[in-house]
Amino acid sequence: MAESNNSTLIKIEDVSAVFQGITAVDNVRFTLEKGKIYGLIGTNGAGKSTLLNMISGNIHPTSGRILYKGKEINRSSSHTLAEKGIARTFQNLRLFGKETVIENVKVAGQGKFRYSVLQMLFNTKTYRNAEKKLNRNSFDILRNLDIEKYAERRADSLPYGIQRKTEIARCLALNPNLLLLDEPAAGMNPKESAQLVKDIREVHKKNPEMTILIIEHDMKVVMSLCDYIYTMASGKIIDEGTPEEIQNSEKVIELYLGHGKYAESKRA
Amino acid sequence: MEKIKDKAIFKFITVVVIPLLILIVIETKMNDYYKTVVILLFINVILAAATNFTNGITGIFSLGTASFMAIGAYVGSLLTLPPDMKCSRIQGIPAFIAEIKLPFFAALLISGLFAAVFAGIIGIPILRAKGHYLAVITLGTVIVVKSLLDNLTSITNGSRGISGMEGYSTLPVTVLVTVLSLYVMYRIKTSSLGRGMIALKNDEDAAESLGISRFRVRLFSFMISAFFAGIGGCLWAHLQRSIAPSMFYLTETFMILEMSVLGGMESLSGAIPGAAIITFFPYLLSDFSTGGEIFGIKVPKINGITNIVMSVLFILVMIFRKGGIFRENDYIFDAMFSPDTYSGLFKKEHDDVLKKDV
Ligand SMILES: Nc1ncnc2c1ncn2[C@@H]1O[C@H](COP(=O)(O)OP(=O)(O)O)[C@@H](O)[C@H]1O
Ligand SMILES: [Mg+2]
Repeated sequence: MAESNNSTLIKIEDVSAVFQGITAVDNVRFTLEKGKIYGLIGTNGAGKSTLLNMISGNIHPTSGRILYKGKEINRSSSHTLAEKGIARTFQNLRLFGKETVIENVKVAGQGKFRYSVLQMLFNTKTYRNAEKKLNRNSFDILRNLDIEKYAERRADSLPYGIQRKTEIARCLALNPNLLLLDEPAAGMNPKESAQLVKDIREVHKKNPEMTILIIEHDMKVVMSLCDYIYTMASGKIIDEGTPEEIQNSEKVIELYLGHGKYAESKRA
Repeated sequence: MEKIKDKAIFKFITVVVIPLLILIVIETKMNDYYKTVVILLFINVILAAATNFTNGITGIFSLGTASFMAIGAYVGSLLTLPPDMKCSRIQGIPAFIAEIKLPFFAALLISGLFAAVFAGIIGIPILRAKGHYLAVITLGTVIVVKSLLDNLTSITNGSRGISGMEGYSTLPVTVLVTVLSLYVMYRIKTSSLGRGMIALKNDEDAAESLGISRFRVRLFSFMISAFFAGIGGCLWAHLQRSIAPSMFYLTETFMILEMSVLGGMESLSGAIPGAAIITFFPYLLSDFSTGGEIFGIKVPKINGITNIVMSVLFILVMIFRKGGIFRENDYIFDAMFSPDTYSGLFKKEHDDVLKKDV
């Protein structure tokens, strides 16, 4: 393993997660470099979501160390990590359904436009400017993802693909250094997932510094987007490499019983 | 074409001018009995809105409002009663408490602060609990506060309570305080803090992953709610002019809960219809509960008619309109407190960032 240096964003050292005797993540080590897109693949129950939950602070590792920009974040809460630039989506949609799309985005973006309670109560210029900038900023994010026309719609009234995009928009409002996507294409039709690939590419082009980690079963999505792929099975990383290396890896082929068939067979 | 009901002038007239005129008529033309009922309505609106603030907006289901109200009532009363009155009525009252005498508005503010600090102290451990645990624990607070008031006799005069407060809670004072309280709560709800509160209610994990501190925001919400419950309690004490621990117990707790749920606990404006029903119904039904003549028809005495009617109404609302009368819509305060309403009175086009930028 390379020593952590300036280009390393996340370093995971021998991290394990144990739930009531079940080892969900077993002595995992890996590194995420700044500005790259990573894939994390593996069968259901391999521990991918658990690993992501640990990076985002939703759960804490049983042992090992997680370093973010060289600092240990094992015990950091998810809201402090969000402020420090780690954004995530959830495997199941977790939008604020009763709120509008723009409100969903504003909640995430508001940390960057602060004001005091008194400034708010007296409706001062600072308050009004902050709210105005927050509105503009949130709206721009929606426009970049081509969903600005849904801004005032209730989130749970929208098609699935738009809701998924809203979730990504919400993450982008945090202006993250690290974007963690847990099965963003799950439940999408081929057209929607092709669009998703385009959107993620677009996002990355606009923020080339941003590191993205995608958990995904749809091999088309993973292979076309990622610079580097980690493969997990039973809590362990069993292989890693570039998309070509992974496509030709015997371990991975064995795991998936043939190329690309995995997604269909597992979801059925 | 703008709909009439969206016009600033229409909003201004319906939510500001007309209510103000009605209040002026009540203040100048009505007798004290009716005025008291209307003042009570306003106090109940504060209590219900404070409850909605936690229960409906932040998603902390608290039953503790009556205990914060009690603290406000006692602190406020002890601060405004003249020293000699305190000494003669409360056996063994410590000198430093007896000596204080503050103007009403100072006492009002301090009573709110006391309630908020109390909520902060109990909130730190209990806000870690979730869902119905929290309801049970906050109900426990009501019980604990009542027994403290019963037993700290040298300060509270025990179960006999305290009386002799000045009637500072006149209609104009109460209306002013209510409007200010509602303004503060409404503005917090629509600010970044409120967005955090609403996000937490929807999904705690998702909200936290977006940078919202569950603990900080929930504690803040709980304290703000207690602050206004304390203010409500202080107003209440200076309306009734006599308080006792039993007034802030389970009956009051459930009355507050009914107001909150009937009106729609996810809406601050819901406090108004909720409080109106709960405040006025007992008076409207009082002829039935004592027996007597209504419109010349003799009615027999029906014991407990108020409770029966209220319960039936409650069940009906729960079945046919689960979110309460206003659901999550802040109809009244959206119009009353929105800068749009007022700027719209003077400007033809108002600056809507979202639409202007497209
Ligand atoms: N909160 C939890 N409590 C108990 N077991 C869990 C919990 N979360 C995940 N697990 C278990 O950990 C293993 C890995 O789950 P997960 O990380 O969700 O897998 P993946 O995302 O790769 O499909 C599974 O066996 C799952 O049952
Ligand atoms: Mg998973």
